[in-house]
Amino acid sequence: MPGFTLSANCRAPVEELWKLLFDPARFPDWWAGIQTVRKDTPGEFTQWPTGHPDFPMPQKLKVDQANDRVTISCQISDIDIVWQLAESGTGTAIQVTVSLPDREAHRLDDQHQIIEESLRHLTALAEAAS
Amino acid sequence: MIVGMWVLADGMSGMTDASATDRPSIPWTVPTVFTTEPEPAAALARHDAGLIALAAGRYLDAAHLLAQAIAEDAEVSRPAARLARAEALARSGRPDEAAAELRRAALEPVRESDQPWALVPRMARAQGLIALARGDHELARRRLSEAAAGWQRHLSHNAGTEFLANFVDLGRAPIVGLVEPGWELRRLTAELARLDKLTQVS
Repeated sequence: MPGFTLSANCRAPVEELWKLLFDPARFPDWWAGIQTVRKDTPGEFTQWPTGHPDFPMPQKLKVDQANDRVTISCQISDIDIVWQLAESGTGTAIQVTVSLPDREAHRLDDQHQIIEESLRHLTALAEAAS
Repeated sequence: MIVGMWVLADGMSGMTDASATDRPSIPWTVPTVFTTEPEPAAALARHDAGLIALAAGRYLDAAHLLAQAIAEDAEVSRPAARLARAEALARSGRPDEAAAELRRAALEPVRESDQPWALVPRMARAQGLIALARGDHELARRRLSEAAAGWQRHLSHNAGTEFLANFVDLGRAPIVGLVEPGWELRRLTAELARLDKLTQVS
């Protein structure tokens, strides 16, 4: 299964990142390519890519209790994006792992670019808020 | 806020008012050791009593009871219990301990029944109360406003699904812990208004 892992260190405390990661309504503030988000049932939301108001993309947000990871799963493309936070000194270590199904392998480079940019935005936003 | 009258011990009647006003601590009437109940039920009762003490303005009692319940692995939402304890500590004038508890809340595993969407504005509010306890009114206003905006986004919340998740994950109805965004928003609006008055006076 194609995929990649990125990591970053953020000077903001873990709770600042936690708030941004657990609230899909805030995703457009930092997740590259997401224009709007609508909360559906608990653990589910729909996002619209930037410039594509006619393409709703239903997503699931689930938490892996054992490893304290947040997984965002696209219900259309089956791309899984797993975020994990850990304390690192006074800041936070962020790790994000993206897995694509074989049929979406051609999007690997695009996804890498999007998540890399999103990770930068997330870090900057959390640091600005702390 | 929904509170469970069944956990009230002798001398606690009339303490269900969810007032946020500060009150001096009085001797607590919930026994710290339950001799006739199985331990899980006692831990659960301490958690619920802690939330009631918090709502009643008995912050040190609340912090103590919630700490016990967490240490005893009460079958409750651990991140929510820690956030409630952070509030109790902040309102007791212990902002550093409150900040440490808030950090622990962010590091707790989260389940569906923890209602992660509701933890976010709760965390922002706890941060606001910690800032207030530290005398940083500007930061307090920013955090409380952030929490209010969070609840505003959830005003159309339907509690039915969470009620079911509580049954599945915790094996009981959520006697305490049902989330009412409208009530939370009203409380925050009042807290922001009090902060405005405080700022005008100082």
